[in-house]
Amino acid sequence: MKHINKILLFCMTCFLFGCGHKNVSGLQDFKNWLADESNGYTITKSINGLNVAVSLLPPEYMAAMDMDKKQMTNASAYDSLVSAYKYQVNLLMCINSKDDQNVLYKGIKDQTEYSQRLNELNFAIENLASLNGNGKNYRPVLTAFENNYGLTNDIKINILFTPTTSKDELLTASTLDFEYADESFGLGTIHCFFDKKNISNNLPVLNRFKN
Amino acid sequence: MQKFKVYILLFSLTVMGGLAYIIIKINKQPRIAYVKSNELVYGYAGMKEAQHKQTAFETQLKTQIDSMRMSLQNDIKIFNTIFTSLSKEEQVNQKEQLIQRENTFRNFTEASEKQLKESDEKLTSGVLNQINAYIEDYGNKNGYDIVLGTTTSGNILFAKNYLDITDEVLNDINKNYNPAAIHETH
Repeated sequence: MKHINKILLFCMTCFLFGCGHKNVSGLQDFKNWLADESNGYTITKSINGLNVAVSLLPPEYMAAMDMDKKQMTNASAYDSLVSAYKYQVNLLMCINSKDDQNVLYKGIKDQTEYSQRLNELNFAIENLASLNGNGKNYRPVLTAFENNYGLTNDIKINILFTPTTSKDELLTASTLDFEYADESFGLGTIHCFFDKKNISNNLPVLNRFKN
Repeated sequence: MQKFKVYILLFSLTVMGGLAYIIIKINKQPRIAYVKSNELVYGYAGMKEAQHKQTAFETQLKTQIDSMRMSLQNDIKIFNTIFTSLSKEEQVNQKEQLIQRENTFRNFTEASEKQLKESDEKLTSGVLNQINAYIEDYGNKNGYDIVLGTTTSGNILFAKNYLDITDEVLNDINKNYNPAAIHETH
């Protein structure tokens, strides 16, 4: 009887630890976890010698990024940031070349084409990207092309969607279909389909923000 | 008797070795399949979406062109009707205005045609890039060494039906393109 109790206690402990959230020490670990496609937050497509990875950024990650930038560790500030980010959908689109070339210059013949590409990446994404949630189409409210000044070979574009009304179902939609009709890299129209059934609920927790 | 047994053993080993060689040789032969390019391209959901977008864009431009043309034709008609009642100066002024509008209309039509052509090229090349990347991925995942594509110029004159993987590829590529569309159809 004594042994049975011990075994039960051991099993319960294993069960609790097994189902718990993974603790990560830094933002980079969180980023790596998000980039792992099996967790459902990132979808990658390979077309025309390029890899396109679209990541759905959870409020917890956005808040952690903010905290990191401002070098804050206050748990209540983190919680309030998470609550604020819950009212928007943040996506990050990252394009890199399979042959490790700088994507920005890929297929570019002259200065005019380069200017046109930069112009499209900076100002035209909001007309080319959209999000479908529960049968409704949403246009981005903000897009930001991260200028890396040639330091990395990839390009990153942050895209933000928000509900249009207070009763909007964007935030509760069970599936989100991100569409990007590319005009710069010969990718065609890309669909990235995020199904909440396939998205892991066990988001990692940054140790320093734990209560 | 002992010698005979050794011969039998050697013979068996030779036969088994030969069989093993044949099996390895067969397995080493390149795995080939083919797809019907036309069916694949036009059955691909990405192509259908691109065609739909192109048609919408074409309709939008046509509507603009038609409305400009009708307005211009109408004004020319009015000008011809009231021509005799106008003073010489008004006649010249209005005629000049109409010629200018006609030129604008012609330029707009030409620019629209160019825009349509460019948009068609962009959409089609995007779709073809997607299909090519997908075929490469499909071939690698399923162990194919060569995937051929039939074209109207007859690059494949004959192939057994079991080598045709068009349906499998088409189902897979459409599922991969936009699972949302599959959800909607079910």
